Amino acid sequence: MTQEQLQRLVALGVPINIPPKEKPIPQSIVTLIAFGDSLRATPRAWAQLDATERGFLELLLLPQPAFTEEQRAFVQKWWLLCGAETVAQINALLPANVRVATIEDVNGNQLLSCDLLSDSKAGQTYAAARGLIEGLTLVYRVVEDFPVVRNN
Amino acid sequence: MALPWQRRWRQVYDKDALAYFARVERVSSFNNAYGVEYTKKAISDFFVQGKDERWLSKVVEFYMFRGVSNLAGCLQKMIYHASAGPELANFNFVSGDYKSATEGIVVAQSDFSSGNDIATGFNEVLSHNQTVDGSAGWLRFYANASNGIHGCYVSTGSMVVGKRYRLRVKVYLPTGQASTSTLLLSVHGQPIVNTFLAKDEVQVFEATFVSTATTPNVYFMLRASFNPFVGANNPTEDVAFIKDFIFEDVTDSPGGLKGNGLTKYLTTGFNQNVLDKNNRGRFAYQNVRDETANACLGGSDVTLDNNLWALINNSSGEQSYWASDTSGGPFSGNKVPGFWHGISHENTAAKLFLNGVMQQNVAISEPTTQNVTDYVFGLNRAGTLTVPTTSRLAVAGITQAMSDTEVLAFYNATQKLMAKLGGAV
Repeated sequence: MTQEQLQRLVALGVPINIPPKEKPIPQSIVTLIAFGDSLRATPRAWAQLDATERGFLELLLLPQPAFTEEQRAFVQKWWLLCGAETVAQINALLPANVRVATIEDVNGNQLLSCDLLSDSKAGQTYAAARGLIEGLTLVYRVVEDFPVVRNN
Repeated sequence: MALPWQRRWRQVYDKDALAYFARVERVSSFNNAYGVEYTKKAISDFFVQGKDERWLSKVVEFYMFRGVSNLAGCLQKMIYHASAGPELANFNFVSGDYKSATEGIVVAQSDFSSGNDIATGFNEVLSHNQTVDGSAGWLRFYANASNGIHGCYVSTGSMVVGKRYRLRVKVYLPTGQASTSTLLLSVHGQPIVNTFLAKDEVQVFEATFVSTATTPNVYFMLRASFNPFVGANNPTEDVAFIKDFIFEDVTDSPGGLKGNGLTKYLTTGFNQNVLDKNNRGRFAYQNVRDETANACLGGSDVTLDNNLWALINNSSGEQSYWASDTSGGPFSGNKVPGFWHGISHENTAAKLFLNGVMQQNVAISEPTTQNVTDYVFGLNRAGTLTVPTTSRLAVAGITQAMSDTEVLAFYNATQKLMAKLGGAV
C-alpha cells in the first residue's frame, strides 16, 4: 500500500481508519480501492455490480443501526443519477408519505443520495421502488460539484 | 380530585397519547429499550402535564423523532392540526438517519438474576433472586439499622469527566414502606434522583448527567426525610428491590433524526395561514446543532429574505427566529444545542427562547401571513427546499403564542420527556 493509494482511499470516502505506515494493509482494502477507482472511471448501477462489489457497498452502507459519521461522509460522495422521469416513476411506486427528490450538481445532473440503496430491501422504506433504484448509475461527487446555496 | 385526562390506575394512558400510540403502532412500534410501557408512560405523562399546566392546547403541531423504533414511526405526528393531517411526508430520509434511544456504550449492567453481581453494600442486607410482582431475579436490600450508614453500592465502572452518562434501573418498593421513604441515587455522592416513590408499583428510573468525577460508584439508598432508615433490620420497612441496571455512556447518543444538509427534509402539510401572524411560534429540540446558516423548519411563499417565518440560523450561524416581512427577528449568540422556541406575540414583536430562557425580545416589521406549507430540516421556499440542515432533531413543531411562563413549562416537560427517551441535552 502506497501513500498515494491511501490518499485515493480517503478521497473515495471509504469509512476506515488509515493504518500507520508500518502496518501492512489488508488485501481487502486494496481491493476496495481498486473497486472505487473502477467505479469512478466507469460508473455503473448496483444492478451491474458483481457479488463482490455489491458486498463492498453493502458493508459501507449498512446502518449500525444508525449511520456512523464515517458512513455519512461516504454517502455524501456517492450519488445516483436520476432523471425527472425516473423520479416520477419511483415516487409512483412508493407509499404516499415517502418520496425521493433530487439535488442538481453544477453540470445540471439530477442526483439522489446513494444511501437509498441501504433502505430498499423487502420491508424497508424504499422497497417498493427497489428495482428502479438499483438501476440508477452510481457517480462520485465532491462538495465542489454542487452549487453554493444562498443562505439568507 | 383527578381531572378526567389523568391516569387513574396503572397502565392507563392519556387519551390523546393513546391516539398517538395507535397511529404509530399502525406502521411501527415503540422503543423497547426498557419496555414499551415505559416509553408510553413517559409520553402520556407529557400530555397529562401539558393539560394540567394548560399549555398543551397551544401546541399546534408536535413532530416526535424519539421513542419510536424506526423511521416510519417518526413520520407520525404526536400532535397535529386537523388541516395538516397526522403524518409527515419523508423526502429522502433512510433508516440509517434515525438513531433510537437504545444506543449508548454500556459501561456496566446487571439484571441481578444470578446473584448480587455488581452490587455490594455497607451495613445492609442484600438478597438476590427475589420475586416481585410475579417476576423473579430482583435484588432486595434493606438497612441493618444497628450501623449508622447504609447503602446499596453498585459499581458503574470507570467514568470520564465531562462525558454524559445515562443510568436506568427498575425499582420496586413494597407496600410496607414508611411514607417518608425516598429513593436516592447518587454518583460519587452527588444526588441525581431523590424522590418519594409510589408503593407496590414497578417503576423505571432514569437519569442522564455529565460526569464531574471518575469515581465509579452509584449508591442506592432509602431514607426518611431526616432520619435515614426508620426500619430496623426489617425487610418490610426501608426495603427496596432493584433489577435491570444499565449504566451507559451516551455522550454521542441522544436519539433523533439527522438531516444531511443537502437533500433530506420532511413536509408537514401545515399551511402558515392557519395561524394569526401575531399568535404563533416554532420550536426545535436540537441534539446536534448545525452551526452553518441553515434552518430547522419554516417556509416562505416568495424569496428567502421576505415573508419568511422560520427557525433559522443567520449567516453567522446564530440561532434566529425570523418572524417578519423583512427585518428578521430575535436571535441569540448561544450557538449550542438545546430547545429553541420562537414566539410571535404581537404584530410587531417576537421573542426567542433557549431552554425556556428568553434570549431576545425585539420589535419587527409587520409580518405577512403566507400561503405556504412548512418543511422540517430546511425551508420551503415557494416549493423548493432551501438551507437544509445537518442538525439532529429530537422534536420540532409549531405553537400558538405562549407566555414566558408557558414557554418555560413547555420546555421543562419536553426536557423531562427527552431525558426519559434517550437523554436530554
